[in-house]
Amino acid sequence: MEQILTTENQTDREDLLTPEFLRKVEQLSIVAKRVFPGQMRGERRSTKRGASVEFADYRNYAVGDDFRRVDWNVYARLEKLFMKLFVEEEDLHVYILLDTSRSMNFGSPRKLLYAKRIAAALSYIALANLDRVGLASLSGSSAMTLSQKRGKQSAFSVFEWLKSVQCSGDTHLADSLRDFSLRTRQPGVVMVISDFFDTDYQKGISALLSRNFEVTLLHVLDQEEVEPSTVGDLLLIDSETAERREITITQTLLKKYKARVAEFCGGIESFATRCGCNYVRVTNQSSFEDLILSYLRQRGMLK
Amino acid sequence: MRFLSPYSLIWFLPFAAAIIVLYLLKLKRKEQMVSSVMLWQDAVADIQANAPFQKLKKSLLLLLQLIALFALVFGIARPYIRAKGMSENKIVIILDSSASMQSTDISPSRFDNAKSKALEVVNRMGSDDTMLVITAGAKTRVVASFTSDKKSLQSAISALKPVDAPCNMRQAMVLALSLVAGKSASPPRIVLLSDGLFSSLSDLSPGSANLTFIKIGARCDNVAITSLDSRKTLSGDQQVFVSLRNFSDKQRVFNLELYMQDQLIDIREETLRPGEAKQEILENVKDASGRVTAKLDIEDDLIADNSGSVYLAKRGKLSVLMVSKGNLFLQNALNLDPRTQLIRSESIPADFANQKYNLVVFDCIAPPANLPPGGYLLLRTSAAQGPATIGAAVDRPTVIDYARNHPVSAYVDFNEVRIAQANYLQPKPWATTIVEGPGGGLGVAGSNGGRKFVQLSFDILESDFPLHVGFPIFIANCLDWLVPTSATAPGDSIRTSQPMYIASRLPSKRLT
Repeated sequence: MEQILTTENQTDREDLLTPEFLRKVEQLSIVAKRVFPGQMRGERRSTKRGASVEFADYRNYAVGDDFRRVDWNVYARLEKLFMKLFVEEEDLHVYILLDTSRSMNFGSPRKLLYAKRIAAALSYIALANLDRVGLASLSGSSAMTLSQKRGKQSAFSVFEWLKSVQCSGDTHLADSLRDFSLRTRQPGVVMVISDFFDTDYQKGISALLSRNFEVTLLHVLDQEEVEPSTVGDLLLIDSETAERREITITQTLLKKYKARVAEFCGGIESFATRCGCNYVRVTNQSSFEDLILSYLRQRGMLK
Repeated sequence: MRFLSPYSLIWFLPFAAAIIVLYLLKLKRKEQMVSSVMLWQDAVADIQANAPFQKLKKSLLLLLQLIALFALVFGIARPYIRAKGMSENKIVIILDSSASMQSTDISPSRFDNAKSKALEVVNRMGSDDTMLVITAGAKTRVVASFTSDKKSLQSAISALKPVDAPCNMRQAMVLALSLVAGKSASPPRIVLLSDGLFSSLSDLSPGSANLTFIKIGARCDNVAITSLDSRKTLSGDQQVFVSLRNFSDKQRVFNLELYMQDQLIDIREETLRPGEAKQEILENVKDASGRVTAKLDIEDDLIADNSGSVYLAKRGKLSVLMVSKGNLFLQNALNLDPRTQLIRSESIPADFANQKYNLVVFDCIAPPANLPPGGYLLLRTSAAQGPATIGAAVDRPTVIDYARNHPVSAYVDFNEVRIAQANYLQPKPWATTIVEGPGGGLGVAGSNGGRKFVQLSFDILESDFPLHVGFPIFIANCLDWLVPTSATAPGDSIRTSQPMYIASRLPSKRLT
């Protein structure tokens, strides 16, 4: 318990991202496979018709329509009035959900720090693209949200908020995701950064999907969790529930554990595939820059 | 491997269980914080059933403690291994105790070496083994019968002394083989400790026995008197015959000294090449009686055979009483032996009981009822103490068999003897039939109560027996056999190094 207390109060004082890295990611943007309606004019295609340069459709003229939008070439041929409709370009709602349960406080570097960096990078990319960014930390059964931000100038407030986020409480992904989905009016792209150490995470994700969110799961694991190096007689203490478990780690058990981890990850991935979510698994040992600059682009989540 | 107390091994189980239980109880676990036990829980779930054993796996300390416990219990169980080497179930040690074992070519002597080797074998005996010790001298002697008591074997072996006698290894070996014959779990062992100076035993089969020959002795530097004998010449003088042999591989020059009753009577210088044998004859020793000693003035490994003695005896006379109506053949045959002093009588003399005759011949005249001890030749008569009773009379019986090996009938051909009339003889249990007719014995010999008898049931004058070559031989045989050797003093056929057995009629157990 002592360890839990010390790590809980730890904050991430160092900068999450370097300026060089920020310059590199400025060119990227978050890919949304579907079209979402926005709130303000932005750079994304919206479901609405509006005033952009991109032709969308024709419709019959109705009394009161703006004559400037009549397609006179069609009128010349057909002697009927048709209105040209253009695609409206609006902003995209990008929500980044950060699991801040105590289990994220593990690893070297800590999983939470790694997750924060991913969150920071993704939110910066979104802000740079004039998308509307909302952040939330998931712990316990609720989601602590940061009010939606827009524009690059908001990046610092986002970073500050991320730095201030601390681990606390158990993970109830199902409850906290449902809480988030109920409170959010505008659907958009949701990125869940978590270790998914919860037995019914699927309910939470289903809740998001039912609200028409486009969900991306970023599964962050500690290398030690994937391939434990400790052997011997141990008393394992769960960081979240403080549950104690006597265990003698042998090669046989390690083999079983690894098989179990593979099964666990495979279960999340197959669930994600079934529901049409993106799924990306990273460990805290893989290079963060490579993840953002190449891996996520290869997976088609950034472009 | 076996255990003297195998049940002690059972102690291993409770103690081992106790140690294991202590391990299960004492297992000190290192606390480790993990992000979530969720995954571990699932991994452990299916091996939870045998979790205690999993915990015990790979605990080096536990393994060492169990090994130490096992070593302790193993020690308490007192394990022992039967060495295959020198110990078997039955061991027979044959120790050559002949004169040649006195050789000092290895110090202190061959026999002492053999004894120490035998003691070694005794020390290496297993607790279940039994051992028997035989000495092979002129006579085979069992000095310790089968026993597993090392102390008694050691004392028996330590007390052994060599004898001045040749080695009768064949007898010893036959005895040893017969003693170890029979079924046994492991093959019996015969350990032969000898210098190898005995005749070949290659015709004896050791059977299942393991025969180990331990050769004692390194070299053979020996000059020996191999035989010493005396005989009487026709002129009545005595000759002494000495044969010498050089067993060493060097030429030896030495003196042969002859003593008569410790008085030097002759000395001769001898030169013997390696392996050479030589005979010397000392002529014309006057008709004297006494001990003649031949000595070799030489130093070699075996002293025992450097001197020898022979006893020269004045030939005593044999007084023979012939009670007969007249039998020229018999008289002449008896007179052939120069020792014979023949007294003829037509009837039994009055002082018969007081006179000491070496031999009395009753020729068709019945002997008196009470015969004093002595030799008796009964011809067509019988005596109360005689070897046979007279049975049915028979005319012209043919001899169908006779004892060729009996000293009385040896070299005599009874088959050709024609007999006019005879009686069948029923031999007494102590007598043997020497001449056999179709219906019973015709000749019987036997000795009983100090009396020796030869009895023929026919009158030799009513047969052609006296005309046969065998007749004088038969009479000479009778003289030799019926007259005790002591009557003629020690004979001239006793040789050095040959044991002489003296028949004792005395009841005492010890003769001095």
